[in-house]
Amino acid sequence: MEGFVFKTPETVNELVQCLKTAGDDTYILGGGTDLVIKFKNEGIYKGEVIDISGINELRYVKYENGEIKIGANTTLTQIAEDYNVIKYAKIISDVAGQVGSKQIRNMARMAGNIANSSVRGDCIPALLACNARLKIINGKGEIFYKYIDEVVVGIGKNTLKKDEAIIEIIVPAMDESYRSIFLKYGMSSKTTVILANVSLSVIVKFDSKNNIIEKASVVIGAAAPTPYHAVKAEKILTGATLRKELALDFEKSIREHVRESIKGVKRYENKIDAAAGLALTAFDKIFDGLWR
Amino acid sequence: MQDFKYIGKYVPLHDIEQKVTGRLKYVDDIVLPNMLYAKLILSSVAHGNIKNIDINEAQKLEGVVGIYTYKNSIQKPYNSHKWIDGMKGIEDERLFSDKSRYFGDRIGAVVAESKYIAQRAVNLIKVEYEKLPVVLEPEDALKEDSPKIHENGNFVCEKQLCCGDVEKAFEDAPIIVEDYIQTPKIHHAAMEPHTCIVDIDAFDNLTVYSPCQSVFQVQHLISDVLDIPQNKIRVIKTPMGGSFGGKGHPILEPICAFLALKHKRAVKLTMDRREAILSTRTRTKTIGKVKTAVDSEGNIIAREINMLVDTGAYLTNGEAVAVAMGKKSFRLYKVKNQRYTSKTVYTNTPVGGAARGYGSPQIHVLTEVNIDNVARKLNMDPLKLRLKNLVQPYDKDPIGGPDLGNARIIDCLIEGAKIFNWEEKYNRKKDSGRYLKGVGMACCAHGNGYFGAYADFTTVSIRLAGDGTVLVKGAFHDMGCGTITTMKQIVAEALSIDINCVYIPEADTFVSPFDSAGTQASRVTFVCGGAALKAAEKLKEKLKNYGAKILDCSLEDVVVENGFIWNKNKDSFKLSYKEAATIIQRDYSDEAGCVVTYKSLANPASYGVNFAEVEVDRVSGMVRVIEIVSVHDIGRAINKEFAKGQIQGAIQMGIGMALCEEFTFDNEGRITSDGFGRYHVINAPDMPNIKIHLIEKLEDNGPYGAKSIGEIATVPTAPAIINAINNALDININVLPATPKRIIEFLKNK
Repeated sequence: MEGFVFKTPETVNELVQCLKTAGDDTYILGGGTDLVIKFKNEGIYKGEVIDISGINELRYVKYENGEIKIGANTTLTQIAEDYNVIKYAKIISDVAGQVGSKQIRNMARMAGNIANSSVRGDCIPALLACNARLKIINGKGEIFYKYIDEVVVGIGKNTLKKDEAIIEIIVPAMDESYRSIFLKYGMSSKTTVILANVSLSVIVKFDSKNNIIEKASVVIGAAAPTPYHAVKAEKILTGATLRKELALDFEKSIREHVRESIKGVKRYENKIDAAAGLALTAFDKIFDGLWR
Repeated sequence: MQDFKYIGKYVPLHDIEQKVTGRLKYVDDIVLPNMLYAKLILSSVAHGNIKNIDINEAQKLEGVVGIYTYKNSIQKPYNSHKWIDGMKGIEDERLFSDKSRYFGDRIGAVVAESKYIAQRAVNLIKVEYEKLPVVLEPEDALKEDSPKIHENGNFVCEKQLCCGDVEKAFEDAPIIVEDYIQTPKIHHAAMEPHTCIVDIDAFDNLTVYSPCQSVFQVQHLISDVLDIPQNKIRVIKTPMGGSFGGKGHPILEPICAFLALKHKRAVKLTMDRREAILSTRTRTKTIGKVKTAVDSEGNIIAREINMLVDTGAYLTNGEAVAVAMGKKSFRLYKVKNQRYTSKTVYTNTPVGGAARGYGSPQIHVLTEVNIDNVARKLNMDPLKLRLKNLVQPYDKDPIGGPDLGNARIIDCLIEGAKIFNWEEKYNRKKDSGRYLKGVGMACCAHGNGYFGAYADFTTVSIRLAGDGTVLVKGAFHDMGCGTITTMKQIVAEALSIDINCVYIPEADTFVSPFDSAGTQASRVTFVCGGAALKAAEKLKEKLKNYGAKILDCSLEDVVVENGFIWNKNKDSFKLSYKEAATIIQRDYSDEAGCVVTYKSLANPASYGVNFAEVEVDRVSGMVRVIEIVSVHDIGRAINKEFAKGQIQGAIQMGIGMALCEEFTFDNEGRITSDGFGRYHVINAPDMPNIKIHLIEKLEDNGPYGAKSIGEIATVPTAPAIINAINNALDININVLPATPKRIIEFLKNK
């Protein structure tokens, strides 16, 4: 018998019941913006769909114990517009507000973006830059935590088992000494639905009194199968005094990282210039022209 | 200025309420009783002989009722471009191909009880190919050792248009500027992909529901391919989610009709986006070379244009579009010595067809970028160079084409330059930082129908019913841009009747009188609108004649206005249209109606100019279009808001052509831009500030002075933007679209 069996849990307990019997053809449906397309593209005509969009207890954003906690059933629009996200994790608001189009953001969930592990999944690099963790539940009702790079391990690949579901995203809160930005480069501007062919996430802890960058987290997305920390760029920024040359050194290091990542593939060469442009823009915006 | 009640005013789209409330049914919304669903089997190789088609697994699937390939279907060759009896041309297309000539070629179809079963079955069919070398570039197609895509080789035809003595003029020329520019294959990106339903009755009469551009073309083609009488085929034009030329050729209709006849059941065939990108029609790719000779004052002495037209795997209109674009190049500037030569070739790429502008955007990119390069060479303001050379009202076509009519391109340019603030922007100091601004402009010419080239006539019937409402029947096809409302405005104005009393159905071969060409060639407002006007005027005249009899007064004393007929010397008694129609029927055994066959009388040129300001990021190569000023010589806008809407949308397409829209291929000819994730159109947030200005100086033969806008509006945007980028960076882009990657390459090679 072909067709889909739909399960519509309304509580986390019911979700656990659904996960208990999950098999190879079980899929978790959030907003469906990736999953429905996956079904069509891969010719999936049967299976079991666990629709989590009815679990209201997973629809929240909380600021708690120095952390921002995002329930798995929260839409990108809700995340982008949330007061606490804007205040304590601006980069997450940035990225949530730039995924796809408004219509997509009204449906899509960040947890789904992670679970689909798309090479162009915008949220993953920003979460990696924040050192975000995921709260996961399994069919036995066990809860455990994993860092984002422990879950996303390749294009479309993650370490989640069939009976596991992300139920919360945890982002360390950043006080006003932190500055952050997420930028992506597509064929067109950031306001469009065009998927990123390279992105840059930058977080710095900045001592504005002494003009010194205390800490830096820089992640390049969509240049390699998974997003990665641009360690050379982070090294250049960490402990550095803000000055014009720093912007150029930063740009150069980003260029080098991307050049290494694309491994000489000619059709990806434009990612180098694109990332360089993002680096300069990020620097300009984060430091608000202070460095000129 | 004449005081109109409806002409020039905004009247909402006739079906806007039904569209926004979702009550309007598009073809894919329609479900007929006992209907079957078809899906196409598309080729996965760009060039290859079919060795084997394995349908075993698909056949086993419950719900599959038929699988068709070249082996068990009609194999009559045809050309889907033909729209009327008697048209000649190469017939190289078949319902299903026995060889794959491009990635996406139609290999077959599955018919099933549901569309999901049909799709599943398609996925289970294994086609084995003997791969052949691919020809992706039109220049390669011309080489002698190029692998043959069709038996007669890859070269289709050469066309030439000429005036004056080109050789001599070039011999004496002091300054010559040459350019080479490639334009890409482009997807129309209509919201609604291609779709149709064919129903069948007990007599094997077919009813085709199609969002098409010409019902009579669909009827003609099905009749021709399936060898059944035209009059056993009824084609109904349905509401349509956009076409832009993409639905100009009947692509699915003959297949769907064939399947309906096979199974004696209604069949629906709907494409998804990928199929619509791959296997319908594209804007033809061109590789153009132009050489312009000028004197030191900037007067154009001679010009030579060579255009290589890539029609893709099948010819369709590859010959017609090559000629159409050539003709445009003689109607914009006064060039006494000019030669246009085109060569049309096959490649293993998607099939070319009509696309908003019909070759005009391609040739104007070539010639208008070249004009700016001439200005650069002369160190002259491109505005002044153009003003020196543009055509004047009532100039003649130098190759004997129809007269240009009230050609107002110079007005467009002068007024547009003021709105854009050209002089200041063009002369400002260049930036030196990361972001550089530039300005550019481009002019263009387009037509108004087929007069002078093909049969151009349409028949319209009009009848005032006894209840005072008017029914106008003609083959009107509304592409979504307001044709029905425009016709209503024309009829209501001419007949002096409340527009809400005017009813105009869309084209239906069993309802509408014959129309020679459908929605093509920018003919709808000019020709079909002319016919509607003529019919309304004739009916009004008839009302006047009967008015004189009914009111027992002389013809000169009869007034027909605002829905009433009266004797101007006795205005205390007024006969309503409703009463008049009833009396004409009852007492005179006649109807308050008439039928008019309207033959187009002219084919003047429409003109337009766009001014563009861009900002280019030198680091990443990204371009942001800041502003477009668009000025069009429209004769008169019947509905100003519709005209402006056309221009807005056309600019969106033009920016796409300039910056990001193109079919891309891998080395084996597989299309890599097969979805909107990889085929980039301009989205709403990227649209620039747009200022639109209309020059309304009336065209003699247009209804109320109107001429075309829908196609021409898309022409000048791309060249204006390319000129602006060249102006910003001092480079010379010769491949469109100017993607960031290409811009960076041009900068590096500067």
